[in-house]
Amino acid sequence: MTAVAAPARATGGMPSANPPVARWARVWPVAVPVATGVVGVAALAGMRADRAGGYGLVTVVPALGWLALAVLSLSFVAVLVRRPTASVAPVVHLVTLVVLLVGAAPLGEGVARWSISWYTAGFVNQLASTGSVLAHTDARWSWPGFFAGVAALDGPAGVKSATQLLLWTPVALSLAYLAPLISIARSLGRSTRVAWVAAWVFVVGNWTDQNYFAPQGVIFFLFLAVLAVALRYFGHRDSATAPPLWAGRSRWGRARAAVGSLRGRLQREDVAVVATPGQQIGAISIIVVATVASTVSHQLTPVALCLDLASLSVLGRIRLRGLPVLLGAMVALYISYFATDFWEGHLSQLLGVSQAGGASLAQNVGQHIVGQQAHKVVVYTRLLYTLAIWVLAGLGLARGWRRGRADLTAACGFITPLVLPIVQPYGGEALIRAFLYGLPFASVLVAEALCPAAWQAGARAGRRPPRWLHRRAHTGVLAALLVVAVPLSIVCTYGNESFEEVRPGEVAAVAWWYDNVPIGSVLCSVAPDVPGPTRLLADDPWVSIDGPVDAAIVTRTLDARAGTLKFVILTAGEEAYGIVNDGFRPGWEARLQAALLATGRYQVAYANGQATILQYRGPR
Amino acid sequence: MSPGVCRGGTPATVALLASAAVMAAVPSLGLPSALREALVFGYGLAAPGWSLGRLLRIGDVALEVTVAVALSMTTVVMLAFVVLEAHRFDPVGTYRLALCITALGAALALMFPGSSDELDGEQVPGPAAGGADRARAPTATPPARTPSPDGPGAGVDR
Repeated sequence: MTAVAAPARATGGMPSANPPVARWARVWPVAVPVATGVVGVAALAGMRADRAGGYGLVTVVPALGWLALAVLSLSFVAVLVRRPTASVAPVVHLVTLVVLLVGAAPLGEGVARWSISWYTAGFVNQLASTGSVLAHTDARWSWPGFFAGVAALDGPAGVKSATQLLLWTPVALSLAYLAPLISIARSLGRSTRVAWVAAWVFVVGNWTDQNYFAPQGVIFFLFLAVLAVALRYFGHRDSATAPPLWAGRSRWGRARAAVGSLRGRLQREDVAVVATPGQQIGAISIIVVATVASTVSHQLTPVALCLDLASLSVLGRIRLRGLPVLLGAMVALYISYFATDFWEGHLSQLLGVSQAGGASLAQNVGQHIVGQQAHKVVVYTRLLYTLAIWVLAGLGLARGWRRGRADLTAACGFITPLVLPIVQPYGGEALIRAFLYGLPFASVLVAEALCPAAWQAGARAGRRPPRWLHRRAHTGVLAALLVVAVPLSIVCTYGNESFEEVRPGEVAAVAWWYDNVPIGSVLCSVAPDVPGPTRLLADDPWVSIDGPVDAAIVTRTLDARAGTLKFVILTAGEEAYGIVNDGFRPGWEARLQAALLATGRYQVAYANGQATILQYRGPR
Repeated sequence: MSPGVCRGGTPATVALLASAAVMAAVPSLGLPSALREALVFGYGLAAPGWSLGRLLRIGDVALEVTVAVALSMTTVVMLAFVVLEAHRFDPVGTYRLALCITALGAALALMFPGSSDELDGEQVPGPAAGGADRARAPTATPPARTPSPDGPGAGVDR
């Protein structure tokens, strides 16, 4: 156990007169999170996720689930107040938080969410079954590293379909992120307690939902790992020794003091480890090979990584001057040579010639504020939550500045990724990704802003300690913010659950289609929200209609496609997608189905409570 | 962990070597599917990197875990990518290559067990200084192990 037991003052160092109390003091820092974890898992497993309304899972989380999360947050702060001497108690709290917060959907729904994750599994299955990529069919095949890596383990593990891996991937990845986050916070010169708070802030602040089964979630771990190694072995910490900004008495004295103070704040304190040449070569090798693995697996992450390394290098916060250039050249070379399928279709976007920066930003924000009123509320909540994290990070910078530190390293990691959405929209998602790439550093700054002064690593020895009431008030504010952040995080992460959820009936319908139709058949979805295709990507073309849809549009779409047989799939997820994103009236899909059947050219081939497949019998 | 020695020492190295041999047999042992999946994915995403990362003698647990998982992912992804680009995609062969790398890392740790004058990557903040690209020559004497940002004692805040 980690907690320091209270000294036995009353007994003058003799064994405590009340052993159960002393024993409880040692046990609770681990017992409480374990107990809240058990209660929370039981509560969330009984959640009726299918009844989630327009605001998502926040409306169906049981009272016991909320209670468990609130107690967990308070217990976490209480453990940190006691100055844990080992990592067990904070780690147990963080693991429980991830299981309850990220695991809420797998526990409550039982089926992996995000239809796109099922499609990603289709890429892996295709590669595993044929041993090759489908060149010139989808730009994602230009980055096959992740697909090949998973397929390489699928075989020896006896995994018949990568869809088996989807459900718990977000929890596994979120747990994996914790170690590099702690390492980065420590390399930035933060105390262990501030580092734990930073990891907590990251978990509750990461509403971006990019940890599902897809290249970006896995490669984000490599992004964190490379930064952790670079900062640990080659980093400089920002000095915290600068004098006050306006210390002098005369005008000249004040000016000299200001210049001296600014220089002091911008100074670097060496924290790069004392490493042997072999260790330094090993660290550089890790940075290079991990960046290569990122480059062959994902489009955007290595670009963000190179930007971060380059800006840290330019500002003198890491000693690797030439490496960012080398890595950037490698990424550019890969995109030029191996990813021609991608840039042939997106050249104008890559070069930024089609959109000015403002237009790109507008696309990143504006395209999400559409559809149903509840959806708009969720999107606005996300924007405000993001803004709150950035403001708190700014306060953290200001607090560091007051203490004589410029915190350039953290500011650099936090701000640099924000360049991405200015130069290109990335399908309207660049701002979300930029927020994610900056979040590890923003979390450290938020923790800096929230933690009491006594928890900070650079607390000056000569400074008068804050009064008892001040300390307690600061800790209370921290605890209150952590408690409030949980429901906000659930609204932001699971606010679109009505269409991001994948229902068992939808998976069953897709499985029926694969098992019962001849190879070469076409499946048309009336909204881009069907769990698949999950296999035979080359043989069974899927087509999706995005936007206004009626019977004539569906028929025209099917007439335009060649295929052995042709089908239309209508699911509860598509219905929700149309209502939330396109503003369609409830029941639009039932009316569409009736209209299709009324033409006499469609017949029901399969139906369950959540999905219907109609077979198209061709032109009359 | 003592400076210059891989975490876990020789027993961990021997266990890594033995586990690589055992894991080579797992796909053909007829284990229950859930156990087999957990073993192969758990081992494949931790062991190769741990075996190689131990050679760095990292002093910090969080960074050691980070390096272990990152190097394992990188190993699997890069091996699979290379055989895919060579048009010889073979999952079992790739898996065995990853096991060979695990064994190689363990064998290197046995061959070069390290000595007490090697340093283990402890952070040592120097004087606040500007120009900082000084090359740090390894010294024969390990530095004092006090310089964590929290002050003396691992994990204790001032």
